[in-house]
Amino acid sequence: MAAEFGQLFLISALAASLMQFFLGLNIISLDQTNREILITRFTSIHCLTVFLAMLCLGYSFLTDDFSVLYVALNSHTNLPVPYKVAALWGAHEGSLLLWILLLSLWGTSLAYSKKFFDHTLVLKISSLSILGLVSFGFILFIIYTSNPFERIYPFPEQGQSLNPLLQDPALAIHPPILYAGYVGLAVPFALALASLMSSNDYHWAGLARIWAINSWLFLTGGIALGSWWAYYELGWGGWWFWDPVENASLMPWLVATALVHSLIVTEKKQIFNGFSALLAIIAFSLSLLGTFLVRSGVLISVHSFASDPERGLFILMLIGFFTGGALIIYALNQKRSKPLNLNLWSRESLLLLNNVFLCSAAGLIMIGTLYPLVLELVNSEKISVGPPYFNFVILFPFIPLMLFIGVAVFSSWSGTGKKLLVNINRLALLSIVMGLITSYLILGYETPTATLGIILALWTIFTGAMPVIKNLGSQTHQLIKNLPMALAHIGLGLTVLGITVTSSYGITFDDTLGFGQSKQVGSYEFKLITIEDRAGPNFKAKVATVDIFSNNKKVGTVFPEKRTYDSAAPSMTEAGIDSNLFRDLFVALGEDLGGGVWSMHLQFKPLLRLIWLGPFIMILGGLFRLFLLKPFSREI
Amino acid sequence: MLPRHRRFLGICCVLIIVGLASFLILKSFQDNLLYYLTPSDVIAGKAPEDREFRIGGLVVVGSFYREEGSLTSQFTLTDGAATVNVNYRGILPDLFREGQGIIVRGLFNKSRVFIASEVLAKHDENYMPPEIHALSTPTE
Repeated sequence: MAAEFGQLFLISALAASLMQFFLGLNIISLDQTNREILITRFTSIHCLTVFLAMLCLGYSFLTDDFSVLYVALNSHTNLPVPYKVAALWGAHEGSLLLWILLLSLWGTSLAYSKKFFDHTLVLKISSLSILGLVSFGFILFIIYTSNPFERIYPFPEQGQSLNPLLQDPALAIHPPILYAGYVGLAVPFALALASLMSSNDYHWAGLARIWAINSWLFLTGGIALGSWWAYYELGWGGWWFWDPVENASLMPWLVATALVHSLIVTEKKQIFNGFSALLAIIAFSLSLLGTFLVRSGVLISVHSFASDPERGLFILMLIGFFTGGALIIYALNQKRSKPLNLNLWSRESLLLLNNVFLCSAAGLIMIGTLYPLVLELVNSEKISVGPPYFNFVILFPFIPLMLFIGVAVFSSWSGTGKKLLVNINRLALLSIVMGLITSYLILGYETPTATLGIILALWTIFTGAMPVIKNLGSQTHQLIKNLPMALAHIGLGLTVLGITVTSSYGITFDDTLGFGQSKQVGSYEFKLITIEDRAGPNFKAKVATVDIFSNNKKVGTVFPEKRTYDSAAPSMTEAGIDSNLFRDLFVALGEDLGGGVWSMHLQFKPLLRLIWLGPFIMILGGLFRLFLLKPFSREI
Repeated sequence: MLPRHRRFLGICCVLIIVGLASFLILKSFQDNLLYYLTPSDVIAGKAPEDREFRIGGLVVVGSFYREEGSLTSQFTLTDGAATVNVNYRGILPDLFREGQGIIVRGLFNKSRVFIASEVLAKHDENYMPPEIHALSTPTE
């Protein structure tokens, strides 16, 4: 019965979201107070019904109701309960339901926000109406093409279980976090459109900033978590593959970062209003594009997409409708702004410059991601764009970006270049000297890019920390005012430092190891002790014991595993990792080559942890801004 | 210098930098395009000589050979019409099987053996794996 109730709730949600949309339109004659009360109620009803639908699906999972197709495909009686919950969003249908649930939750947070006052009430009503329309489109999509409550008859005795790759704590929470970031961008999008259609001034910026930072936080967390998962679970110790699915999350992140910064300018200086609105539209459009890439099946096979295009075409139509519609509204309502008299070295123009770099980075990634798909669809010629392209071209926007980040921190609103130069030259010198020392004396010279990367990372860290250090003696308010920015920039610097050092100085190769034999990896020695059998709850495993020595002193032992799950045929590699802040030692078990010899994948990765420590610190900065500082200045 | 001259100089600099960056980006794009061919394409002489490319096909049943304790394996790929001999040193993906569809990246050596630098089993490269039933059905 649960599945039928779920279906009913989903249809109720469809109706509620449509009501939410219509209540924002002027065709219904209501005074503003009643309109606001009604639209708030319908937003809650919409959210509640989607939540109940999700609960119904959860109930089907927990009771092993394999007559529901989605449950039969993604669950099994011996699947541990936490993974039955994670299986809710483990595949297409359920993850879209989650997408809609999160969208309606963000909508509800907007509806109950205390940040709206009389003159911004119209913004709230119109943006809730727009969010209602977005939700309506996607609920319709679920009901028509990807219904999670579909029954099968005759139903199977047993389910096919969740993909073993997905049976992992980090990946269980990865989709909700990433999706929360994706769909959170719908709120700035809706606010931007609401503003364009009404007062068309800067009032929306302070409001949009709250949700932009929120979704930026979730995106940062989601991407970092995904990369961490890929590192230890996919088996081969890579942490970023420039895979289209990864790119699909990185592009909105880059534009969301630009949006957060642009909104500061719009809020504080009341300029760049149109640019911020455009960024809000692009950011959400890239979220939709990401959903399309991941969910349409176009990546798995362009041909299967072309032959069974129902789902993909529907999402494409939704993208076309929302992005196209938004851009038309933007074009029609774009006011000719009075000529700006910007000083090149003022904070506003430096932020604008960096936002352009962030967007170009997103653009370059988009070319590399979409070009092969388009070419295959048009020409049926199969090509792919290799990681070297991304690794190389990302430097073009990122080198100047990192350079100007530090300059922008020291610039002032409407400021000029002269004072700026005096303020930054000492820190610049410090970064260059420390960078050269690190790259030449401590690590040993590798490439010019590596040296430059280290210098720029240090520059970003130093300039980020400086405004806080300078105010150490002063009042708390002065001290913490710059903390969110400082943490975000230090986090970025640490991430770039980690990426540069790991990719330039890391060692990675495949080799054979016999029992008692050892192999040299950099200054470390890996020695294979034993390989034993072990039985898990729903798998069997071979577990190796590998001791690691440095200068004949044992520094660690790792236990890489090869697992064979009862349900699915392919075996899984669980890496053995010994890590601290300075380096990761990594062993993945290959296969038994006969004669007591196993193949192994061995890695030494210096400063790898910084790649995930950085985002963590960035997130702290964002949380600090949202919860500990005074509310945004110009909301009232 | 007049402001007009300065502006002209500034615009020239920006144009040169943007032009140079676009040139390098386009070149990198060209250099890193990996073509995907079938064994028949290879036999028809479509394979590039001087740069890596990818071949996709099924591993011929019975063709897999690896000396005991060695990391180097040999196998044959087919698309039903033509075959290519492949040589690979390294760990094979978990999903590698005879009869299974795989993709190899690499170059031919002088004796026309394909030296693979990477072997991908189907679905192995997909970060977010597709629906389960796609895994269990044989592809291509």
